[in-house]
Amino acid sequence: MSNFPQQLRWFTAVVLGALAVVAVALGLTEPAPALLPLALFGALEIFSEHRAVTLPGGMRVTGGFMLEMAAIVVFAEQASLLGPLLVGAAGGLYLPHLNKGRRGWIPFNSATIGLATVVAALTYQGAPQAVTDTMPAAILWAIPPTVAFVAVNWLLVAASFRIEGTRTVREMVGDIGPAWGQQVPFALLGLFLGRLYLDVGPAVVLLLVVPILVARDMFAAYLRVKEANEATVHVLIQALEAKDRYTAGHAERVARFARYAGEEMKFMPARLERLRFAALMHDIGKLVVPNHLLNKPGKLTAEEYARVRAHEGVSVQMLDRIDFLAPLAAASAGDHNALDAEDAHGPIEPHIVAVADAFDAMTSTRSYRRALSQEVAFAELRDKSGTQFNTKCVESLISAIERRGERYGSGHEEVEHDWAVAPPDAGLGSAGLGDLAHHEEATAS
Amino acid sequence: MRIGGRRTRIVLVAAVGLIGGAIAGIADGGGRSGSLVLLAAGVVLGEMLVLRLGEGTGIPLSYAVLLVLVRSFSPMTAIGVFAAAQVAALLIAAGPRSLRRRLYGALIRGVAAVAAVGGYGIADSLISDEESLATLLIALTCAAAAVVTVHEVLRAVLRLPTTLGARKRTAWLAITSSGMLMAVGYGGVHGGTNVGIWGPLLFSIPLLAAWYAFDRLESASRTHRQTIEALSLAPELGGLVRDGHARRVAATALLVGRELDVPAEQLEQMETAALLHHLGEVILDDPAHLGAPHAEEKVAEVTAGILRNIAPLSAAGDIVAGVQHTHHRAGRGQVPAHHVASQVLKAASDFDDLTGGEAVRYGSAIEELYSAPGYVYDSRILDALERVLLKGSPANT
Repeated sequence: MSNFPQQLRWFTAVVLGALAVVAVALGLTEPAPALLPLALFGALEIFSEHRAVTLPGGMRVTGGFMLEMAAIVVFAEQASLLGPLLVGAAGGLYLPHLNKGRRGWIPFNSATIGLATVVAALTYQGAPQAVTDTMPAAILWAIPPTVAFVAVNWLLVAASFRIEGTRTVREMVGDIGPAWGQQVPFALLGLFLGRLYLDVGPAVVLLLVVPILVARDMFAAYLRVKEANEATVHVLIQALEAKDRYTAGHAERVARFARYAGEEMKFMPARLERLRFAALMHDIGKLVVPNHLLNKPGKLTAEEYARVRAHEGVSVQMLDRIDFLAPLAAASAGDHNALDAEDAHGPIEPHIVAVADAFDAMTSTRSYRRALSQEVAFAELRDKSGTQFNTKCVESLISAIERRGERYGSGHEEVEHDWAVAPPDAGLGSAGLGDLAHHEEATAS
Repeated sequence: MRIGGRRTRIVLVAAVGLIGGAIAGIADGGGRSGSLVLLAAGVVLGEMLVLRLGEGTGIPLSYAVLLVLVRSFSPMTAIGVFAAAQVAALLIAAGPRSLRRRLYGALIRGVAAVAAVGGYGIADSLISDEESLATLLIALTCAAAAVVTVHEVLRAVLRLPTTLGARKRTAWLAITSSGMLMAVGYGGVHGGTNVGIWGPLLFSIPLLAAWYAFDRLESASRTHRQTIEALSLAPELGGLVRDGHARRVAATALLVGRELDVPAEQLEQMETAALLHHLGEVILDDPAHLGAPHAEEKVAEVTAGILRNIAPLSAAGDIVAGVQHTHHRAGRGQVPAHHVASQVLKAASDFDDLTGGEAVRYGSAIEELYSAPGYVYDSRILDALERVLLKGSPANT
């Protein structure tokens, strides 16, 4: 986590002060909370903060709320609010925050979580006897305290962002839904854990902690492997770029355009992920094409052209090795002959990659010609719609780019070129590598 | 009969279980028939949801539900319901597809159920008449231990593929602790809980989360391995190295590395390094580069450069770069962590260059390696290679 912003010092002092006032008032009016659950849940709360998993989107997931909910249920038995308050406040004790510059996060988090927990506990204790005694109703009663917790926590965090000026309230409103959705399963588990603790004893807490820890560790391992695989794909991209300097950024851009079209077609996240990998790796077979052919200025001879096209078969062979890409291998790898543009049966992903690849090829400068303008590229894609390209993919990509107001092609290229032999201006070609030369011209030369 | 995809079948079984359980519960008027139907559906679902451990092996979540049955129902009911659910799972073709594997699986589950009932019963009768949480947990632990033992021993006896290691222990830990918690949640101690069937339902959430994590990890690991393998094909498909070189070198290096007790994490990096050590060749594919003196050094340098650029693979890059250093380097100052792995990779790669993967040339190749000047290969590594060869051909592993 980042350094603690100085603007939040006063805010933190006020929230912490409020928490202290509430705690002292509760301490004076309530009997002291039982020590065993306080120590057990408090310790687990601190532990769980240290074993948080950060999802690729940046969201941090901990089991903290489950423990707070369990503490709420356990301390409700002795009508204590101080117990849940202290357990919640323990959630702020995250050791890496002891580092210089971050220390402010400890009182900030302790105060916000502590206050949110005490309000949630108050809500829970407001349940009528009839509700807590009958089973389905008792489960549903996990929801009001969850709403209260998320609401208080959100209000305090939103206020801090407002003071800091980093995010608007409007942006913060979008977070409530996911935050609530994430907490409900933890709330239900916590409620049951609390009831079982009261009915059976503290040992059950450990039985629940084991599978949660296992799930957490395996998920963290999964994220590491995923990262390693991402890295391997970048080995491929770097190797390709080392061979062919004109393709700098090509794989990433094709992946981006493929994602645009996939999002436009309302793909689910898993399918988008597969599409992204297929797009990133579509040129893998180029690894076996000799460098002098890849970098040759101007047109290729027929023989050279055939040699270059052979890479498509190699791509298929290599991608076939990867189970989750195999169904897409044949055509993603650029085997345009095998691709019937309007084929309604096979997967649509290869068509998307073909269109994305062609669009990037046309709007980038290559050794054999300079970048075309976006308008010319769009017109070419539409012209070949239904024959070379799938119409739906073409329209999806074009509307996605237009809606975003993005510009590609001549005058808008991301990469500055520095060439020994300047590429010619002319030549249209549109099928990625396949356009190194038009087939008829190549055979004629 | 196979019904739809896996996801459809899971939803279908869950729906049938919930509706059937509700109807049976209402018809039974406060009896436990509704719970039994739900638990049976849980067993069927548990056969479809397996904690995957790689190489086609895994542990089904149904064992967790078995502990609930064993704890709260008579031995006959527990075994009967578990067996009936197994038959249902077989019929809707959950689990491994080959009939032999499925029948073996059902056999193992059946014996495990009997062992669990036996283990629980014996422990329960030995401990005391008065049930407490402690005695209940001991009896459940005995039942769980019986399940684990039967499952592992029978798999070994029936020569079914099996995996070793920490991940399997972790999977058993998750299933047995969840099963015990579900059992305590359902029956309580002395019937001292009114949580009932909601206990197993809810406490299956962490187990389902674990299943999801295992599933993702297994898929991601497979994809990762296959991506590296696909990349490793480039030099041979380009005709720059002999067919199968990278795979054979990786297999040999792994065997030698294990023989030398190289830590598991380094073995993984060494395998990646072995599979990709010729990648630089496709980048320097110009005859001018490849024919030049020190071409091999240049290839290793380029490969290492790319791998080192990418954080999770930088250790593999170090291993490839280290191939160019003689093993005597180890004698001076700090020994780099990857040094042994680099030397193993060098020996394995040169060995494959000499044999071309043909077993008849193993003898002469190893002799040739031994006869190289002392500073080229570490004799401990050559000894390990020789021991590995005596055990069998690395190409066949």
